[in-house]
Amino acid sequence: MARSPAHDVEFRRIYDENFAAIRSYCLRRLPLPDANDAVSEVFLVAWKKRSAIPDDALPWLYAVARNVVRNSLRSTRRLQRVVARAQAEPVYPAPGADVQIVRNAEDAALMEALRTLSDADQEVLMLRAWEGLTAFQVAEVVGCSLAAAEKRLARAMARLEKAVTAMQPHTTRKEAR
Amino acid sequence: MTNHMLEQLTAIDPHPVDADPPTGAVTAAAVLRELEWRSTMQTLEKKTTSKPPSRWNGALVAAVAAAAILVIGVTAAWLTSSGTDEPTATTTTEATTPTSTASDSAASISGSREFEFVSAMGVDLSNGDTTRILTTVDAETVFGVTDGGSPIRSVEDLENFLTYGIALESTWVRGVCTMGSGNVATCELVRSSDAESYAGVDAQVMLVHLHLDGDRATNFSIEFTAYGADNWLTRELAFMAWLEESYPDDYAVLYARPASDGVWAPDWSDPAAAAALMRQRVSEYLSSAASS
Repeated sequence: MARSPAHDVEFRRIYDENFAAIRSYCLRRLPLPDANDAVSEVFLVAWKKRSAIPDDALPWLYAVARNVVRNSLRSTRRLQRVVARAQAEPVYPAPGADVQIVRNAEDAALMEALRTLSDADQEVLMLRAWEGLTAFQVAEVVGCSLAAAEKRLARAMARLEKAVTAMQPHTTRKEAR
Repeated sequence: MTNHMLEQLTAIDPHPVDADPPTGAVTAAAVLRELEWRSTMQTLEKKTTSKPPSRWNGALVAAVAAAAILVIGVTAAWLTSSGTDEPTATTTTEATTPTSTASDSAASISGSREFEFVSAMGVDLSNGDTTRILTTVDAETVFGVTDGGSPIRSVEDLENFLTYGIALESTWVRGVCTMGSGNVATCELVRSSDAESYAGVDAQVMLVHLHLDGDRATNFSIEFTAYGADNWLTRELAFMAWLEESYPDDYAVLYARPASDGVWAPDWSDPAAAAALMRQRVSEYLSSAASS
């Protein structure tokens, strides 16, 4: 086995195949500088524990990334700032047409609703929608059974829908002004 | 999960994998470089922690080892002359070697040849002489190491490495020796040179794994462990950064081998030229540091 990450063929394959996904995972959850650090941390852990990486590496890497991100958020209490920033600075471009206004308003409301959910709810929803994982893979990442993961996803989605509904009058009022 | 809500949620992904990353996002190459660096540092730190190197320490343990060897010899001679099979409690070798019982005395006597060889090797190399070493190894000699990397994997590698050290007018001192399984002795060998100390490397500590069969080495592995000063990293990195910026081609020659081999090492294909280049660049580095 090669002794260096860059020269270990198997590790390089895993790295090359999954780097972009892990970077996106971290960028979705952390401010840019912290996300950059987190990406490095994830792959350092992966290198140290490379013998434990399963054939389907991505869910395993997501599980590592999840812990790294949580540590990052926990240690610096950046979560509140991220939420505040997400609310203050929509990530969508300024709308041009009326349709886009409605669309972006809906998206912003959805994002805002997502941010009102618990960390656990947000995580399973993001894993499903943004990381594109199956319920089985979500279970692997969060460390629970398939049935539990399905239940969590269903509950989280119900809470999201409720949160979106609760926000709609507010959004409508803002649009009317 | 309702399909509509899932689609909506998917559509607001702020960082899709297939989209261009935002400005300032780390690249795969950068992370890999950092990974290479951090994994190497962890390896070296681990080794440094387990065996803190220093020239003084090396010299001290060398003296203790020499005393131990003497005691082993005397004990063995006594055992032979007395003709007793009983184990004896005179085991003063424990501090430096694991051969601490009389029943192992044959192994320690055997090991003492290797210990002495590495001592003599230090003297020879300090005098610029590689003859004894190079006549001991041949194409059949095993150059592998069991733990840690080594850029020395052949007679030619060994000769080039030794020539490089000699060209830098290095001093070589044997440190502590232990006897391992298969009667392979392991001895610390500490190399230092003025030129490299100016570049931040006070000493290069290596482990020589050696087994002699008659006059021939069946195993002759050199494992690089760590450098000799606590602040070596900061100092050497400063030199490396300067060299890479000022002379990228020379940097590629002088730090050609990956640190994952246990040591940053030059391209030794032309060891004398590499040593001359090292001296020249260190000299310029010192001038540059002095003027700034």
